[in-house]
Amino acid sequence: MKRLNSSAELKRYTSQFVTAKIETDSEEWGPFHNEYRDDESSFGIPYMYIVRSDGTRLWAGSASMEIPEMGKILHEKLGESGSVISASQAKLLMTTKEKIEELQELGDIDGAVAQLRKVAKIGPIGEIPSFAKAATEMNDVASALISKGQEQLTDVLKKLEAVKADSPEADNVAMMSNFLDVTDTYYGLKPMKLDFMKARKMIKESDGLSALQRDLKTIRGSESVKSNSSIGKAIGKLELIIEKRESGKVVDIANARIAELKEKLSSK
Amino acid sequence: MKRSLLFASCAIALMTVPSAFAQDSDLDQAKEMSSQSGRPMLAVAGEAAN
Repeated sequence: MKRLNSSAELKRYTSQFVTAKIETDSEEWGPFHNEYRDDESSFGIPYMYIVRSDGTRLWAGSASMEIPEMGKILHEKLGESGSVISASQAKLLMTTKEKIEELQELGDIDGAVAQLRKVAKIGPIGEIPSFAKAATEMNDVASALISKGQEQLTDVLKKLEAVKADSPEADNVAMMSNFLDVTDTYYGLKPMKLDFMKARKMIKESDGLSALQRDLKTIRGSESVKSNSSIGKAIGKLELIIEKRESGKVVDIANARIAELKEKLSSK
Repeated sequence: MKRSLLFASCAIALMTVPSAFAQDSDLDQAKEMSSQSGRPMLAVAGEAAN
């Protein structure tokens, strides 16, 4: 028995599990067995249970088998168990998840998505390959956030596909503004990468949309200027847009922004 | 002879299972550790003598 106790073949697998021994005359065994037993497997004592960290039964049955067979089961089931995370990774995931929920309640989606990037080193956003509680909860929060962004981006893509030469400028401005909003918040998240590429390609292939995107970006960029010289430069860029376009929705927005910037200058 | 060898082998494996649990955890504690770390749980039910 001593020789078998040190069976390297089993130990190299069992060391990767959290192990527990249950006595069949204990109170805890009945409920545990009812929850995890496999009626399709043979019953016998000792009875073995392999349970994934999210509580899913991976295997259960009589442990009366030879070492190689048991080794094979343990090896196979380890392969279905996902990755192990460290205590510090679990803590980072939990605190980040709480922060994301807090920011969402405040309506700060940009901030919430930015938090997702903090945990990207642990695993792909929304797809951390672990069944640890902190990982699955983070995956749920991330997936919900990404799916909101994905919905917005899909909507933009549909509108981009529907754009025609005579589409009203106001519609194009609204669509492009939505695209810039989604880009500001979600750009760089891998699950949305392909759709972003598709949208950018469609915009690039249309002269009108390309120019519209550039002008709206310039207008947005003027929101954050602070010093007198940068306000002056921003006004100059906005005037160029007005000069080029002469009239329309973009010109109205640019004029409104110039008025705001001049107000800013005069209040200094 | 073959049959007795097979029996002996099964019996040895039976005795080996509990032996793999040099540092067994309490069931609730094991569930908690598994949930926190992502490690799967391997539990074995046996008679008290095992």
